[in-house]
Amino acid sequence: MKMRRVFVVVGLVGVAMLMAIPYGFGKDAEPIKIGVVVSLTGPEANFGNMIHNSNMMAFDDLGIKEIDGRPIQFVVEDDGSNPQTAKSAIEKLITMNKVDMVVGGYTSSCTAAMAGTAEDLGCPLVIDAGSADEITTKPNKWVFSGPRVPASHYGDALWGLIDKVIKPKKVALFYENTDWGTSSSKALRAGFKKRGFDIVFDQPYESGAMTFIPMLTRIKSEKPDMVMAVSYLTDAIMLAKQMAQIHLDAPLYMGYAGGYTMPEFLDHCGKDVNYIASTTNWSPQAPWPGVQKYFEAYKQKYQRQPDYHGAQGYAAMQIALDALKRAAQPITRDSIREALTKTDLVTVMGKIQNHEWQDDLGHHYYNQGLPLTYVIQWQDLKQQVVWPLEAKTADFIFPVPPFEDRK
Amino acid sequence: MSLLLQALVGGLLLGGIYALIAIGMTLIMGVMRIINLAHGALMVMGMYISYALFVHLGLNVYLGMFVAVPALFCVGYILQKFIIRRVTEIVTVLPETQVLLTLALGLAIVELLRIIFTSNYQTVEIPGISDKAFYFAGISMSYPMVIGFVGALVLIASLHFFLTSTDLGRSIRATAQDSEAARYMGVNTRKVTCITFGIGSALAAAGGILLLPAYYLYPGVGNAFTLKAFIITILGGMGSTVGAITGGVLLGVVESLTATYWSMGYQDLMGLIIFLLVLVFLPGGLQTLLKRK
Repeated sequence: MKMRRVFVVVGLVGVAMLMAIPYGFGKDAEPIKIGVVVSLTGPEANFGNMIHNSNMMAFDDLGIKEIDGRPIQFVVEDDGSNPQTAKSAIEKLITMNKVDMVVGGYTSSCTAAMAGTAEDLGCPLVIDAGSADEITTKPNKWVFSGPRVPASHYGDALWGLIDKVIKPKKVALFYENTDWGTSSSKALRAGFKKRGFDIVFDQPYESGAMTFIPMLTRIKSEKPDMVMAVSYLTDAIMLAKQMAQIHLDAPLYMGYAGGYTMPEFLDHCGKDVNYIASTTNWSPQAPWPGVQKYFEAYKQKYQRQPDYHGAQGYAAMQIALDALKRAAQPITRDSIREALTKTDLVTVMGKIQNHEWQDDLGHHYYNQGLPLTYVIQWQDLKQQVVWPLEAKTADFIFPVPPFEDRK
Repeated sequence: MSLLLQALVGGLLLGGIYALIAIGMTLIMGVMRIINLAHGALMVMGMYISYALFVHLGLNVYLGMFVAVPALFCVGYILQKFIIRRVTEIVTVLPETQVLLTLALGLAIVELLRIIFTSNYQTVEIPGISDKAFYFAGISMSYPMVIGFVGALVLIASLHFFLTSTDLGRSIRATAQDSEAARYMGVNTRKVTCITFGIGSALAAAGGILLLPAYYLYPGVGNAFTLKAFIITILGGMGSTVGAITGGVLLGVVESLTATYWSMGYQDLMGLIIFLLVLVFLPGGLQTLLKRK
């Protein structure tokens, strides 16, 4: 009888302890949940996957698996490259999965939808890449720029190089006939006009054309000091080859990111890439700790070279984990938010310092850093960072040698 | 002056290759009265065969033509014999069924190529040819474009000879003019249509391969050429070799002049405007101008 009583008492204590776990004992072991929203399928899946792979590589590399005894757990949602889906995905993460923070956002439209929801529901969001200016020009409390560069600042390094080195009088501008091409051309045209350059050629072209020779011949006859091109990969390939064919000897041919910095550009053009310069958000040559290691490791693991999208994914996770590490205990959405406002970290995208600031265009940014942008130049079949000088890996070559004199 | 000359020469070279790609469509349309929307896809299939031989066996892409062109003849022959004919010989709910069928075939071919070769862009380098050019009087002509142009002219001339001077060629022309009458005269029109579809596909492949060293390749690259071939067919008139050359060169030169003196962004638009004008005012193609005189 006594034994039975002992069993009952022990049993009751056991049940009570089990019931107490959610309130006390087990609390420390409750995971810290990071929600991830990224385009794993749909038209943007190519770069979405690169971003996600890089997110996870950063998590593995940094080796922070738990904080204060709480393991870090990921809940990944695919937005299918669709803003509506992105919105419902982040809603689900915040309300149902009760994540502590969200990392994500590749296209600007998906990112904008996510930012609105994160702000309404009060959950910190670290943006991977979505670059439209407006995303961080609203006084949001919960939205953090992460490693992204606002779209209108993509060309920052370019203007430095132009003002200090190239100082052209006559420029030729052409761009693909798409949203990206025309909006980039607007920013470039405004910059040229502001500086009083003579724009001797300013035309769109239909992407996918078989020959650019008529256009390039016309540009050649205008003798510009600089050629500025906004093109995606296939057109960049045709342009570089055909420019070499007709010996278009401008002192500098400058691409506006797009196809001109991609590894495939070199694969298809060979020696014709030499001396072509381009603006870019990132370069595997960038002088930040971990860049080379990340680049090589990604190449080895995924049999493909990462570009700036991947670096942004890696850096976004660096920023998120840094905030978790610094957040006041116990870790809550509020303490993470507080830590993110004080982010001051050197990532693979350079120094990220979230703050409030205003630019020349009158845009007022909140929780936005300004990672450096670069100008690269292909030299001896390699991309070299030539501007800004503090990040350079080689001296720029300007004016470039005429085609006749090249080997 | 050299600007104008470069525009004209560039347009001419491009137009020759356009003509070769289009001539297959014009032949099929002339003989069978169907619009072959799989034309670009068949061209790309030929290009990939040549590309695969280049990558795996190191075979020069121009030589790859000797494998790809017969292969595409067989593909065209089989498609007509076992698939397209089934639809052309029965009364279907919609008269457009044949066109829809070729559209579906084109899509299927492109997706198949995407599975095998992925969507990545491919280019072909031929040492000593790809990056070389002739320079003459201030203008330049790249080797691949000149080779493509000459190759196109040779193939078109051979086709013309075949159609006018051989029995089989005459049977094809007879079928084009009046297939009923041709059948009464003892022409096996079923076989003739199969051969025609084969020749049309083979010529598309030949055009694509001649273009390959000067352009790039991905499974969807043929769509633009289906449209151009269609425009040239309407310009030149169905089933006419001379018409295809005229149409091709006209389109090439107009595009080139538009890009030089106006804007590259409008070159496709100009092509389409000419297409509309010809459809409205010369429904029989440019040949109507000659016949009126």
